Amino acid sequence: MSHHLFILSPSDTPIYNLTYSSTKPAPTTNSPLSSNLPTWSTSAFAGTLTALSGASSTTQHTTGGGVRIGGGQDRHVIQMIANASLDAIEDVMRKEGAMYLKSVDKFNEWTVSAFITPGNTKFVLLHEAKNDEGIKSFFYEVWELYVKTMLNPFHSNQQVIRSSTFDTRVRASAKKYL
Amino acid sequence: MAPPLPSSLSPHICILSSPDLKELLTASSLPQLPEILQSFSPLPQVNTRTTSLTSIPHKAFSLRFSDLIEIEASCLEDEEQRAVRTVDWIGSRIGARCAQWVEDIEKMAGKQSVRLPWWDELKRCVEGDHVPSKAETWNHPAAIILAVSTNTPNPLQAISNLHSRAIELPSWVDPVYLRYTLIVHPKESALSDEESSALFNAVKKQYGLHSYLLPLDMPNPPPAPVPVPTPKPRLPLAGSDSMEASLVTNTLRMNEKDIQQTAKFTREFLVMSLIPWMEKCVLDWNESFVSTRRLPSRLFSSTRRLFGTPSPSPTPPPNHRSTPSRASTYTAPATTTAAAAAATQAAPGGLPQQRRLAEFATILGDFKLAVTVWEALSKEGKGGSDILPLLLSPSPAIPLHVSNALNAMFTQSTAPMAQMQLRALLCAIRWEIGIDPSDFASEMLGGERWLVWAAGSAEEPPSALLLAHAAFISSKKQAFRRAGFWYLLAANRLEKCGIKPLTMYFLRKAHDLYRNRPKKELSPSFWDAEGKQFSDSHEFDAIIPGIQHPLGRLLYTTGNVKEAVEIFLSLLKGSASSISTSAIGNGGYETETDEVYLEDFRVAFEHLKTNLTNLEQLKDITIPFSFCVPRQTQLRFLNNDDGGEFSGWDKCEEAWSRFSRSHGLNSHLATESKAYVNEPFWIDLALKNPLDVDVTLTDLTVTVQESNENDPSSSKSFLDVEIVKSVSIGPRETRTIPISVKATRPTALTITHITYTFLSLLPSIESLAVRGQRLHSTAVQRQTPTYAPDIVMKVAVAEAGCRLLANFSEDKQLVLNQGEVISTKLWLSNTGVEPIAEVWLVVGSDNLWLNKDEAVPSDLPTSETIHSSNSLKPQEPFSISLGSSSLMPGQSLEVPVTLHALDLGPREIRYLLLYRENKDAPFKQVRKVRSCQVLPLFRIAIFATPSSKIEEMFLVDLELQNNCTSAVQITRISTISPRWTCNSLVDGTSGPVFPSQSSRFVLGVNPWVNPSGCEETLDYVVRQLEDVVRGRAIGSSEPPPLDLCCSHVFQTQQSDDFEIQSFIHSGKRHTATESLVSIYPHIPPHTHHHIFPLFNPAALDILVFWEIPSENRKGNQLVSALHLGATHSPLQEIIEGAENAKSTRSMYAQTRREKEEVLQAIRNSEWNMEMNPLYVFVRTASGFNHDFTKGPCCVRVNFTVRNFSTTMKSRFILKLNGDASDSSSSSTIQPVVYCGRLTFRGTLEQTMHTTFSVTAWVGRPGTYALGAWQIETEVLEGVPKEQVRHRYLQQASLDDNPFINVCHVDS
Repeated sequence: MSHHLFILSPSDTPIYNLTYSSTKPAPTTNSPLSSNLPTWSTSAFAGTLTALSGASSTTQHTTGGGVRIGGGQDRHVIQMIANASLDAIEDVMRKEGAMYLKSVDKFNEWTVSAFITPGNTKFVLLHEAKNDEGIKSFFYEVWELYVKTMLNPFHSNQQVIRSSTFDTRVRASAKKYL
Repeated sequence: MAPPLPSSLSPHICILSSPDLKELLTASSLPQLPEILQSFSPLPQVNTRTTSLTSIPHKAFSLRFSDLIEIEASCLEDEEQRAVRTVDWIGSRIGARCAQWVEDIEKMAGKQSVRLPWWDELKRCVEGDHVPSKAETWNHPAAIILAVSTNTPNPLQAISNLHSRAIELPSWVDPVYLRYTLIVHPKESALSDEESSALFNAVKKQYGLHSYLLPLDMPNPPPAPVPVPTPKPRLPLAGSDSMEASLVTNTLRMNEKDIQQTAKFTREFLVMSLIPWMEKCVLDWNESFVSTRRLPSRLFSSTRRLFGTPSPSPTPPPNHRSTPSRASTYTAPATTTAAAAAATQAAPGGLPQQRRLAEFATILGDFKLAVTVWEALSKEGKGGSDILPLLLSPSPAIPLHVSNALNAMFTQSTAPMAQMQLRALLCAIRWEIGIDPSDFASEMLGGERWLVWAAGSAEEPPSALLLAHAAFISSKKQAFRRAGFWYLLAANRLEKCGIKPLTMYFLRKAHDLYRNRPKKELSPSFWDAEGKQFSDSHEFDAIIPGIQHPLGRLLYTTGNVKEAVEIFLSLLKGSASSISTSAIGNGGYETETDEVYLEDFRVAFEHLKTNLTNLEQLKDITIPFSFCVPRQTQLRFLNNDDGGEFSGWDKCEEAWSRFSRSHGLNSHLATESKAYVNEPFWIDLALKNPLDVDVTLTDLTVTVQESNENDPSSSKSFLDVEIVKSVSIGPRETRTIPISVKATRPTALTITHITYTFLSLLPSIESLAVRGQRLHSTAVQRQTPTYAPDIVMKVAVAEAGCRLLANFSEDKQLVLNQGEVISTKLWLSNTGVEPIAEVWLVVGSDNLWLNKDEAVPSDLPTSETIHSSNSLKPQEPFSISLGSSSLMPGQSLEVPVTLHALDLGPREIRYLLLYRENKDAPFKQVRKVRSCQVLPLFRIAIFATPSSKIEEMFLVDLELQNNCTSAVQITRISTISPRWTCNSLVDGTSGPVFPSQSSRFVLGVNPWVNPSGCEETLDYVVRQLEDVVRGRAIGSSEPPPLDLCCSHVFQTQQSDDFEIQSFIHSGKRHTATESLVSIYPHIPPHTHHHIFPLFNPAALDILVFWEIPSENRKGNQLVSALHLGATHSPLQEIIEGAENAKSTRSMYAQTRREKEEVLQAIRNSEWNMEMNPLYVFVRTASGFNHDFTKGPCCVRVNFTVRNFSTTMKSRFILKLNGDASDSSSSSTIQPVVYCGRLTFRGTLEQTMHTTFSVTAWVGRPGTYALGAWQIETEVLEGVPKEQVRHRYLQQASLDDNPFINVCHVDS
């Protein structure tokens, strides 16, 4: 059960990311919405670096439900998902005024939830299980931490957040809610 | 208007041709009958009727024809195996042709193509599938045409043969179909037209009305080919060779009449037979469907659902009884009945009839009925969700149907993988065809997501193409980021199937789409406010490598090595320059990627290099990052210790410039460092590896060119530049590599570039220029960042004119004890070609001076007078005498230097040597640094008390504790004071002080008889401080000179040869400077020597000389802490004056605060001390014996009052027997009672004392305190008219005063 948090500035520049592996067990009852969807294996993403030229077609018929790869999954795919979900987030933003956009998008096993601050900074969270309340609380805490960071007069909107305090606190909050 | 249904949702008609017909067609160069008939589908303008008899016009009605034998053979094959073959077949078809497609698409660069050839191909392949499946009944034959020709000898027999042939379809294929008889009558037939008509009538009579006589011309030779639609590709039969290429026909060699005849037949077959038959089927089946929907059966069916009975439907399939009357011939002969019954049992989903009903209704366009049935089916989980999206108008419920359909497919865990995948693919393609594109891509339906869902996780070309098409639709919807992601996924899957051209195309698409970041609706001043450019903002760091790296590898494997090399290089830059947001998150990832990229680059580049004949092409391959850090790269010259802080040298240079100004010297310093002919200098290159992997650079060197030349090769003749063979730099490591350069003639050089070979492969060049300063002088420059021209390193190589080389005679690190004095020698040598006329030594501290040759008297008097300028001014630079008039080239000189270690800890001693060849030349400099370590030696405690003896005013107690590890011998102790003289109160000699032992000395202090300059000094300080507190400019006046009394209070036999005055001054200056800086932080240090004198007139300093015989060390230490004598706040007036002065408003609170702090520091300073100058000593014998029987005892007590003030006289009143209340506080010891004169008055001059004799009256024996007195003091000032400056009242405290014991003795 891993989570990926991205904070994006108003110009969609990533200024912080966090990979967090939750120790909490996945809930046994899935939401009806997610059970509507097929279960997907992630084997498609694995090993793009190693599979080089002349990929053989012998591994074509793998059975479904391959091993789930957690936080170590190809980073670019995770980042691509976060980036791609911005399209959906912007659509929803235009339609609704809410700050917390829950399950705004889905890519394979990843559900994307988002939080838009009044300053148009986006928090994008990729998660696998449904945990609306937890994620909402998590977002609110991250928001507070983010605002505290932004109060620093030497910190600008576009700057990568490197504060270790911020990181520690976000992790603590992730541990609490996710 | 909804688009027509996908052609795969059309009646499937199987044709069984007799052998003679086949021969006939082959003979007339025509394809087989199914292909011929297929050319006429779809048929225009067909009308059907619904169950409610409403007519529905179809603009086009598709039919699918296939050869029955082929179908029978295909049905025998295992379905999963077939699915696997299909997937591979599609993959190979696409793989074979995609290179051409990609080329075509890239040719129309810029234009977004409307159709994607690979998608069309995929659609055609999937749609073309016509083999019946267990999961659905679309491909189950709706009709079987039995075709013969009249060429056969006995056509009727042939027909009956065909009719009696068992249809060898598997039992699960629905046996409800229409049998139709077709007789082809060619012109050259053996039968005449009449005979054929008779035959036709006979056939009609025997086999029913579903028969047709098709007369054809079939001219020989065949006519010109007529183009017809290309048939959809079909999976070749298992085991058969792939002959598709030859079988593909899109021409028909028929003449016009034949075409019309065939078209007429096709139409008749459809309109007269098939549609009415299907309508009849629908009507009948609908009835039974409606009957099952009635309450009881629904109850039954739901119970069945609830209790999960696996038995088939309780309502028996009614197909046998409700045989459509018109289609009476369809019923198979009795032999097939059993098979049909069995088929019903095993039919897919147990409800073949309802499914067929739904399908037929769909085909006939009776959507109302079809939707009802499909919905019913889907509610029971029997499929139908996949067709509903095609039939219903767009609504939010449709995505649910889609997800249901896919979910049902994918969750059938028993279903084999390929089959499931193929079905999902088929559904997705039907949706894509059957739903209007604008609806399909609409927000509500989000059809592109369906394709992604359907693609599932299979790593096969079809699912990759589904993803790619989803990306295509997304990109048309302007959702570029999502499109990019899907393209990447598609490429990832396709890569594994080895379809490289298309993979590369998708990767490029993904890259372009990712790069094409959508325009944000931000305030125009957003970037201004951030002070950044839009292009500066970074992005997700792993995405570009994730796209580019596979692309690079594919390019390499497809032989496009150069492009691959460029991509790998750009990737290296990517990870090097990324402002990684993952710095906190997941580290360790980049390490391996950098390594992988570098390795890939190395392999690809090696390959490129070996295979490339024209190496010119490599020129445009450059490394996108740099190793050299020009700002940290610097020049280093021989014989120039530039070590140490810059501030230290600044101090030296400042001292020199002050000195030279005051002495009128030409102080111009030739500061520019220079290299000399035939002497190497070094360029210290700072190289930083930006990668996370070891990197080796070979043939590292610098490009040096003459400043006035543009061609670097011109300098080669006289320059010798070192080439470093190989440098290895660790991950993210910074290394400094010195490159030596030697010139053989004077010139001006510019060091422009460094060159190296990256990984021994790629020659690279980097500039050493540093960007100039940001300019701010004009408004334009302030608004847009403008920089001064780049700065390049320049070296002037000069002829060695006069050059001084300085060295220490011994170069080891010094370890000294505090206060140690050593003599070292500085070795100077002229290595140039001209004589040196003048050498100056500037030292940065007070503890270094040149030895003077003056003889020191070996026998010292007990006291001597030293004349001091009393100035804090730091030491002046020393002029080094050069023996004769100048130092000739090649000559050398030794200069003895004395070093006095004052500060503890590690120290650096700086020597700045300035020299020149004549009076007008600028000074050149040599800098030398010597480090030393100073260890503590003594812990010194010193304190002074007023002496109770008449002879001395003060007693000074000096205690020295040895803190080092060897025994120390104190050789001499001298005191230095402008006002006080000392004598030792202890006689005898002192032995060595052993480690951790202490030695103590007591000195008596008295005023010096002939002080000189004390008053002037005090006046000077008051004057200068007044200027300070009033904020006036400090003049450049110096304190008046002062005489110091130096008393040698202790001396061992052996005399030392120290020249005492230097030590006094250097030690005192050192401590005074340091304390002034800490006390007056706001007074600029360079004005200190104009304000404060070196010696306070009241100060008493002690100079302790020591030696450690065992280590042959000697030295001395100045103890400077005492100020003796009372003073009376001489600065009181000026401070009050400053405080009461009309305060001027200052703009800055800081200035105000600093002023107050200065005032406060002055008020608390040593110059403004104030105390009671008078001190009372009470003296008497300590014990008395008295016979009290004879009366009370009278004791004599002496009172001495001393004035400790050195500046003012005081008036006093001494009163005895003070308040009685005071005495009561002490219960045990009573104050003595004085009698006789109890009040004494007097006036005491400076340092004078007076004594009174008093009688104390003791009534009985006991212990009495003598302190029953109080003294009132008035300090007087002003010479002509005395006035009181301070008043004090002092009472004896019982503790301080002596006691008297009076004992009773019987006499």
